[in-house]
Amino acid sequence: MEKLIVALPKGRIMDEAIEMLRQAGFTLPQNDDLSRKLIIEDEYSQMTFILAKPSDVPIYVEYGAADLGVVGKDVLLEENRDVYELLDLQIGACRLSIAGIADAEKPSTRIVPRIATKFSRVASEYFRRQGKQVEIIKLNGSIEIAPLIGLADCIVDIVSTGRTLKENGLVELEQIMPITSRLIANRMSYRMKHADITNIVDKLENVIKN
Amino acid sequence: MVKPLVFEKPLGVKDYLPNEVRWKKEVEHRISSCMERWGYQEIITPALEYYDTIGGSSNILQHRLYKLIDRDGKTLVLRPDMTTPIARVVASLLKDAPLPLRLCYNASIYRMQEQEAGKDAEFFQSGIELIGSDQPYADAEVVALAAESLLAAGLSDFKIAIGETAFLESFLEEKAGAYTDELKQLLIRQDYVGWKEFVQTLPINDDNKDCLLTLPKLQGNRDVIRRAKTMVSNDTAIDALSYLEKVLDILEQYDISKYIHIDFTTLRGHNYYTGMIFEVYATPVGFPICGGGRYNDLISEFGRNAPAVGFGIWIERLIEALQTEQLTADTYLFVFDDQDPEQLKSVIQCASSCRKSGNKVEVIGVTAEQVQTCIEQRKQDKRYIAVLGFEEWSKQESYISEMIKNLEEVSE
Repeated sequence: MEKLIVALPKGRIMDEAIEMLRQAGFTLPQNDDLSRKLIIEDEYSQMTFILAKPSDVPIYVEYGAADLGVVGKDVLLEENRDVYELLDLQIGACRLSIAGIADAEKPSTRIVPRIATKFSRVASEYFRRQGKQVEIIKLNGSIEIAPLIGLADCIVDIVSTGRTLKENGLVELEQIMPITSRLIANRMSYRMKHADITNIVDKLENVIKN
Repeated sequence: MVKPLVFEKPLGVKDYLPNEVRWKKEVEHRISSCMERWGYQEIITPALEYYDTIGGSSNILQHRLYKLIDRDGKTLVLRPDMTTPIARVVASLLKDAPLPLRLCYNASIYRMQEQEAGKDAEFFQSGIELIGSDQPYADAEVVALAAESLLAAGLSDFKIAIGETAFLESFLEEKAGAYTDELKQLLIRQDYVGWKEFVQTLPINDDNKDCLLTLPKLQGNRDVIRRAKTMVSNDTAIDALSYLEKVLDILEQYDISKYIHIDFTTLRGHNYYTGMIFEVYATPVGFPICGGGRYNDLISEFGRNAPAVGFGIWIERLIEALQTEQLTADTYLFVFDDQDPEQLKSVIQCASSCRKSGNKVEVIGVTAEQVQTCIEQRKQDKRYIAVLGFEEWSKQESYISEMIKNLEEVSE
C-alpha cells in the first residue's frame, strides 16, 4: 500500500476521528503524541497524519498535499473546494443555526439586519435563497459577543449543545442545516490510489454501520 | 481603488523566465511532435472571440469568462477553451475540407479564477481535435494519443479516468427522470455524500435507488462496464456501454490498458460532451493534467454536422508532474576585449561563421582585465557548451570552418 497522507482537523472533531480510525483497524500513535505534533508518520499503518486548522483541511486536500481529509460539512461548504466528498462519518454532529438575544429590550432599528458569522459564504447563500436582505459581517471567533455589544443583530454559528449560547443570553432562532464530519479526497489521489482509498472507505463504512 | 505597483501584473497571469520557457518549449515540442506523427496539423485561432459565438457554447464557464467590449459595443471574450474556436473554424473556413480532419494546437486559454489570487487565469494548453468520425476507433485514437503524448513528454505513471456521458444521461433518465439535473450537479461537485442523501429521499422504487447508490462504486477495470450493463434496460445506455467496450478493445491494441480506470461519475465542467469522456491524473498534481471526450453536437451549432472527439493537456500541470530534466548545453559564449578593435572584428567573423553552421553563439565584450573573471563566472551557467576567450574562439573558428569544409566535400 502506498503511503496515504490524511489531514485531520485540530480541535473538537479530532479525537472522534482518531477513535473512529482505530475502530476501523488502523493503528495510530498515542493521543498525546497527536496533540503535540503537526505531522505524524505512522509506519505501521502506512499513513501520515497532518494536523491542520479545520478550515485548512479542504485546502490541503484540494491541492493534493493530503490525499484524504476529515472535516465538518460547515467548513466544507464555506471553503467550497474542488474535492471528493466520499463519506458522512457521522461524527462531530451539530447544527448550523441563526441565534439572537433572548429577550431584546428594544428591537433593532436597522432596516437591513446585520449578521455576524465565521461562515460568511454559507450565510450569504442561505439568506439569498430566503430572499432576505442582510448585511454579513465576517468574524473569526467569539461570534457570540457581536449581538451582545450591538455589532450585529444575529449570528450564524455552529450549535452543538446550545450551552455557549445560553451562557451568553442568546437563543437559537432558526436551524439552517444539520452538520456532521465528512471524509474528503483529492481528485488525483482518488484515481491514483483508488484501491487504498476504497479500502479505507469500506472499513469506515463498517464502523459507521455498527 | 489602489493603483497597481509599477511592476504589478493582473491576478492570475505570469511571466516566464528564459529557463522556464526553455523547458516549457521542450515539453510542448515533445508533445506536438508526437501529435504530428499521428497526422495532426497545427492550427492557430485568435485569443479574442465574440461572446455570442464562443461564450455561449461553454455554458458552465459563464462567470469565469473574461469579457471585453469592442468599438461597436459588441461583447468579446478571451477564449476559455480551444475546442469551441476550432469547431467554429471547421464549420466556416474549413467547411469544404474533407473529413476526418485532424487538428492540433498549442495555445493560451483564459479563465477567471474565483478564489485564490495565485491561481492561474491564463493557461497553456496543447491538444488535438479529431473531427468527422463517430466510430470507436476515433475515440480510441484520441485516448491513445493522449497517453502517447504524455509518455513522450516524459511522464511515466498516470491514470486515465474514463466515463460515458451518454450512458450516464440515459441511466439517470431511466432511474430518476425528473431529477437528472440535480443528480448531475451532485456528481459535478463530486459530492457522493449528498448523492446518497438525495437518492434516499427520491420518490422512486428501491431497485432504482440501489442502482443509483451503486453508480459511484462502479469504478475500476472494464469489468464494471459489464456490471453497469446489468443495471440498465434502455437501449441508449446499453449502446453507449457497448460502444465503450469497443473503444476499450481497440485501446488494448495500443497497449495502454494499464493506465485506464473506468469511472462513470466522470463529468467534466463543459456540457458539450455527448459520449466518452476522460481525465488524466498524475502524482503529485492535485488537478487533472489532461481532459477530453466526444462532442458530436458542438460543431453543428456552427452549422456543420460533424461528430468529433479531442483532448487538451494543461501544460503547467504536466510540467509540475514531470521530473525537471537538465536540458543539454547548446550555446557557445565568446568573451572579447571590447577595447581592442581587432578582437571585435574577429569575434563578429568567428561568431557568424559558427552560427552559419547551426550553432548558437553569444558574445560579450568586457575590458581586458575583466575577461578572465567573466569567463569563470559565465562557466557556471549550464546552458553554455563552452565559454571561450580570444585565443580559444579564434581556434574554434578554424576548427569549425574545417568541419564545414569537410561537410561540403562530402556533399560534393
